[in-house]
Amino acid sequence: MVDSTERLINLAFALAHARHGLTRQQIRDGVRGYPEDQDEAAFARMFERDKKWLRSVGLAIETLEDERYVLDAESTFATSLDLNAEEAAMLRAIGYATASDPAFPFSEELGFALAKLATGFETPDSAVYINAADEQPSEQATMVGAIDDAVMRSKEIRFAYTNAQGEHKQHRVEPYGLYFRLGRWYMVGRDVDLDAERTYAVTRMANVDVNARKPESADFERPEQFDVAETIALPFQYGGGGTHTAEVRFPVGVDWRAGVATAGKGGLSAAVDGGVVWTVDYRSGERFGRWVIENGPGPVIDAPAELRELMRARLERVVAMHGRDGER
Amino acid sequence: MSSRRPASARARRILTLLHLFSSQDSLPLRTVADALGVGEAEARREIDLLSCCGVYGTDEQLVPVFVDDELEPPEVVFWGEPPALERQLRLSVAETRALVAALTAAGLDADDPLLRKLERALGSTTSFESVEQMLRGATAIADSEILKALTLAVDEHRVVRITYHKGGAAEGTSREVEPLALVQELGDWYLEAYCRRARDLRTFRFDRISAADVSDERFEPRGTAPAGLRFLDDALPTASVRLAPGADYSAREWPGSRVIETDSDGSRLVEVPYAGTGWIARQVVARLGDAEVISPAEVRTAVADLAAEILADY
Repeated sequence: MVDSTERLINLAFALAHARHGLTRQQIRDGVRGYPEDQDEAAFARMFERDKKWLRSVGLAIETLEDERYVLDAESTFATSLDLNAEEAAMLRAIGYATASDPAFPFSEELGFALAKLATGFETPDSAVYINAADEQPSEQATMVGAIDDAVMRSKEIRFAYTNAQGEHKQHRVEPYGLYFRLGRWYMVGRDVDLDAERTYAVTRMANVDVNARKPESADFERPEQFDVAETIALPFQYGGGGTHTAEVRFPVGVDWRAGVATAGKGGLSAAVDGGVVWTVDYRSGERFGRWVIENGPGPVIDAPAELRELMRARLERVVAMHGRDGER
Repeated sequence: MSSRRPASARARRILTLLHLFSSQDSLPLRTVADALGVGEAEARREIDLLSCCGVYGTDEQLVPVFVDDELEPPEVVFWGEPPALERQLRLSVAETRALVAALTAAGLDADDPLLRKLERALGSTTSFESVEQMLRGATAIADSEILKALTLAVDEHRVVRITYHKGGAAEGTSREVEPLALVQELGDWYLEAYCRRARDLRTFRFDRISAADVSDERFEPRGTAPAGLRFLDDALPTASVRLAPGADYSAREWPGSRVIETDSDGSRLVEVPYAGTGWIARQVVARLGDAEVISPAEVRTAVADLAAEILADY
């Protein structure tokens, strides 16, 4: 009996070799591995499974009007990839370091992607290390893998969630997307009970249950304009309370850091006396002040006046607490 | 004896591997075994299996491959063209998602030229853009060209001249360094290198590097530090910091720290390792009065000085 691995490879070769495609009968007769004594229904099921699998690994199989199956070469085979030395080194090193990181949920698929990039499967002798998450990296990766599957298939999920205040609650969510930031994966979706879009830290989730009913059909439609990047906020932009607008000055000399520090949030414009002015919304004044100091030296809050007053009062308190009298 | 791996996983690895032979007639059996993720004995069985695969019927053509044991070490030899599939395959949907997630988590912007180049050559029915709308990393680096340049320098042991802004200072200093490793910790990139100016190992934060020029000069690694483990230094001094009741505390923000005492009012005493007073002082000042350094004196003084300096702007 022919090994099923061999049958799958033979089918791939047969479809890739036959320029004008093959009928189902030609496949049954000509591809080694389909049992001769198999009835038509069993063959049809096996062939459908094989075809689906070949598509999942990147072979674009089309069905022509006369029911021949043909491999679309343009959609199946890559065009030439011209990487310079720096790009190749980075892809190899970052790719394998990421695939080795237990917090990365798609290691196996990344390995295949790198193999297709002709960097091979083997781990290069590189000195790049990625420790993306410090909290339950493997557990985060497992849960993200399940949630990503739900995102791709538009399936509803249920889970238990413990918020930052320690409150537990069950949630039912239509997951729209996932993002990774500062060691944590986050899921964004519509909370069905709240009828509102919310962001959840995966580390705070438990008992994630993807709706298993009707696996082939979507439970919801993702809003067409949804872009997960737009949901990624800076720490001071989360939480309740109203939204306020601030202006922060990055003086000359540190203005080159403004672009990356502000992470694409708000707007940057040239300051009158040089440097850059950042106009950005915030919800929590304390968290905003903390962010500005953590990203110093350099940035200074210019407006609003009440936020400057808060900074002045709090900094005076820090000076008073620590005095200049050495150890307490 | 056949492999215990699922047939689909075995077939996928073999199919993905085929294109490697389009540019080389042979590969060491060991390399192929690594590529297949198996031992040499099992790799040999997989090559035997592959040699039985191909196109059957009137146009019969099998894969012309065998393991040459007369070579030392043994090699997998292709003695002709396979019947098909000798070209690189495009990425599947799942592979596209994995690659986009990995590269954006490393810090590449969604419209980085490298991502666009990969999409043109290997993209499939799923566009990179549609993946990025649902899945992405949000690591920000000032300039992905610096990451690319430093990766090459680490790979090829080449000396790099960097402009570094210590503590975020406006004026950068130029340093010649021998790059040993790149480390990403919780989304921040660091360069570990031997600094020729300091004549010692140094760790440089990427977001403080404004320029990196890779030279043609190559260096012999000095082998003085376990690369990638510089953040686990037990020998660092520690500061005692009291956090006000209700103040946020997370060990992930202060690596290596631990709560050593919790008072009845909810305030906590935390022990925090620090490499330099500049870093810990900024962390404490940023908490705007919710944290007080109890000891040592040098950190208390650094906090008071930094708070006074920032206060002058308000």
